[in-house]
Amino acid sequence: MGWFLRRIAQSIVMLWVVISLVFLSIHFVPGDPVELLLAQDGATPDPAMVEVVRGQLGLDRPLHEQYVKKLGDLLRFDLGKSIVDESSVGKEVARRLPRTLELIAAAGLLSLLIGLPAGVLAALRPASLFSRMANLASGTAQSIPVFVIGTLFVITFAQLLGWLPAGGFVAFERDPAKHLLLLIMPATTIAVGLSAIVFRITRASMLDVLPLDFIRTARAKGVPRRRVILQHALRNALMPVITVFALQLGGLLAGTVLVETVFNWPGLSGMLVSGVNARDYPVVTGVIVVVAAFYIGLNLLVDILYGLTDPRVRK
Amino acid sequence: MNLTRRRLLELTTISGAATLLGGRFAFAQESQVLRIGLSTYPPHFRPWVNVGWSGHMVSSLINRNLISYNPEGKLVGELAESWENTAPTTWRIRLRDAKFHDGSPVTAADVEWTIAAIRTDGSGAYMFDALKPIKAVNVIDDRTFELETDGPLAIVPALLAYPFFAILKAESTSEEDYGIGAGPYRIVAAEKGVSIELEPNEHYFKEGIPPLKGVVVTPYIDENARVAALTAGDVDLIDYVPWSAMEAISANKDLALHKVDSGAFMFLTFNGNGPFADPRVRQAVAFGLRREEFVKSIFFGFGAPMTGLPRSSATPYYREEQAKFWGYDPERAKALLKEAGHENGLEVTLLSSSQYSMHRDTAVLVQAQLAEIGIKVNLLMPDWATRVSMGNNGAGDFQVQGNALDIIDPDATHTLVDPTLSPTYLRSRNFEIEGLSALYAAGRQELDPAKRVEIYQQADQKVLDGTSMCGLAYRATGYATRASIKDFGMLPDQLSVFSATGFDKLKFG
Repeated sequence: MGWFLRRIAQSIVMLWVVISLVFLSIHFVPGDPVELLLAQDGATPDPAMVEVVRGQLGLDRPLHEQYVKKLGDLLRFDLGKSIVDESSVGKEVARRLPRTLELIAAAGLLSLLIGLPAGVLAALRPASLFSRMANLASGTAQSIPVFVIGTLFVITFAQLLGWLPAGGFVAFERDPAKHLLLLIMPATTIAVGLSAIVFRITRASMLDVLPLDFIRTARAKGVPRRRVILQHALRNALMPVITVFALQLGGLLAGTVLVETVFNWPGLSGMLVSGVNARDYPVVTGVIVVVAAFYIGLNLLVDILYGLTDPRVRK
Repeated sequence: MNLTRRRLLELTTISGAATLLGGRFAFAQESQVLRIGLSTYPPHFRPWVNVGWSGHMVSSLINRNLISYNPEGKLVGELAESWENTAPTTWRIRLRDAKFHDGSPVTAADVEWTIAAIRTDGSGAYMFDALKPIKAVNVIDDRTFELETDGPLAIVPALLAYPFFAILKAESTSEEDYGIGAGPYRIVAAEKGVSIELEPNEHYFKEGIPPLKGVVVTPYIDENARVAALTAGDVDLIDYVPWSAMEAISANKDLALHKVDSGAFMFLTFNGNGPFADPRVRQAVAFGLRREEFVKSIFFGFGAPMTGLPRSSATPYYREEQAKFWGYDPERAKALLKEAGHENGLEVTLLSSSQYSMHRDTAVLVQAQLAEIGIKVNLLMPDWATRVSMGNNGAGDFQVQGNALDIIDPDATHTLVDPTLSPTYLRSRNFEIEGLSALYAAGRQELDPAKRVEIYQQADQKVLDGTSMCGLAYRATGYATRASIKDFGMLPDQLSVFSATGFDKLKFG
């Protein structure tokens, strides 16, 4: 029990450190949100007006007071209001987070569907033409920046062929078909690089597992080849794949900004970038806190599961 | 049915193709609904706060001013039917028989309430300062009111044409912060960052307008995504056409490019607490730049050299010799530097921003060209937010700027060229051009048009000689539409960024 409580306490401390770092760094970066707010497209903000608005937003108070207030708000699960448009940051995050998660989930699924079978096939015949071609393709896919892939998709499938919309977002409940159509290109763009990683890890892991004794024994016992590969070899080869895959997905939570930009997908990353550009402190802090809490929460969950399944971890 | 692997593959292929084809039709245009790809999603719809040029487009679709401009740059009545100067400090304005979105009439009381709301402390309204000279709003009857100013004020009609000065129904902001306007469309749905849906205002005061069944505005922040959306047929109209895409759009027979070459402009401002305290050094910079290269290399040829102050050629305030004052003359520039004691050159810092390519590339070109006359320029290029903050704190010996004008009246340049106004990142500081503030004050008060022309010509000459700003290049303002969009008109020159005031007439051919 003590181990679980310690892990939970560690996670809370980690979250507090993240919150403090984000709060301090965004406030110490030069740039005044009020000046930006009042200086749209070349408007000349009156310094008196800047001071009035700064006072209204509480930005004229000492930094430590603002910090304590922010911690208090976060403890009440209140992410505050955007400086730019006064909208609730919590509501906006709640609106955008599922969109980013959906994008990541679709990309993840797609990359598993491509990367896993390709990795297994390439490992079964390492010297085959398929294996060489797949290796080449995965190397290429990993080396091309995601915005280049996205742009090529837009040019090909939207502008030249006209098969898919160039970008945008429609809520699923409003128009399911259009929602899925709009999801295809951004999800595939992320999946290209991700499936290359899945392919390489699967292939390498399978190559490690296939020569092992238990595989030879299974074959010698007359277990059908397909069952040996899928149930014996792949099952044992999956651990590193899952580990790397999970890390990649976690990184995507706030790292899909280029894809969201190219495909006009209104997710969390775009919100973070525009928040940073406008020095919208509550937005930046809110998004990062949610992403960090998500990430730390997932890690905590995995650790607890490890602890439950393997008592050695708890020691 | 026996489902074999082959059969499954066939079914998957067929359903995939059906989905794609279905999709082709799914995002086809709904008849008579205009789809706009906007460069940003407005932070809010409050009508009096400056939300930028793109935000102004949405505001123009749902609201109306008292006065606006026509494509020739002349003031025309919108909600105001007529206006006249009845006494030196009194302007009488007569309203049209216009109605708000809810069908109630636009009255003088609504105008009075709107002006009072804008002047409320902390309103954040763009016109907060500009309306200070208005002493009182006197309601004469439902459709007539008088504006009383604290002194003669020639620019009252121009003030009423300012962007972000929409007339709302009195007290209507208590329910929705964007209130009830009198524009051609009204908002029926808006999802932040995703889309805004508008439907026609059946009470709109112009006969037969708007001709469309609705408008859907979708933000496309990335300029390439915006152009791709237009090319792919996802939208019918986009704003802020990137200069790099203008040629391709012009060549595409399915699309139409609408542009004004002398739109917003790039210029330099100076900090007088260093070598630029000396007007000869500022002039040397102005005569040491080849402005055609800015237009060609930064704006792909879509723009024009800015060799004087931004004065529309359609107005009497335009003078050819003043408009072409800052020609490229490296010998004169070197002579001016020598005269100012810098014959061995000088080293200065230029503040710009790396976040926007036009600001970054302008700085790089200024650096390269000024090196030829012996000025070594060190670049300071943080992100935009930092640049604004540094600019407000007076960083850099000179600064790259980009701006447009809100109105055609010559008084609009005052905030750009007078270094004695409150110091902000947008104008020169720490020096004075003698008599300039007084001339602008006189111009604002002078009600005789001919005398105003004279006053502003003198003011312009002072700015040119004193070089309190240095024009670089006009950049083309561009909108692009499907070729089927008709009745697209643009406002002239620097007002072109506010052309959406005429979008009430847009229709499909």
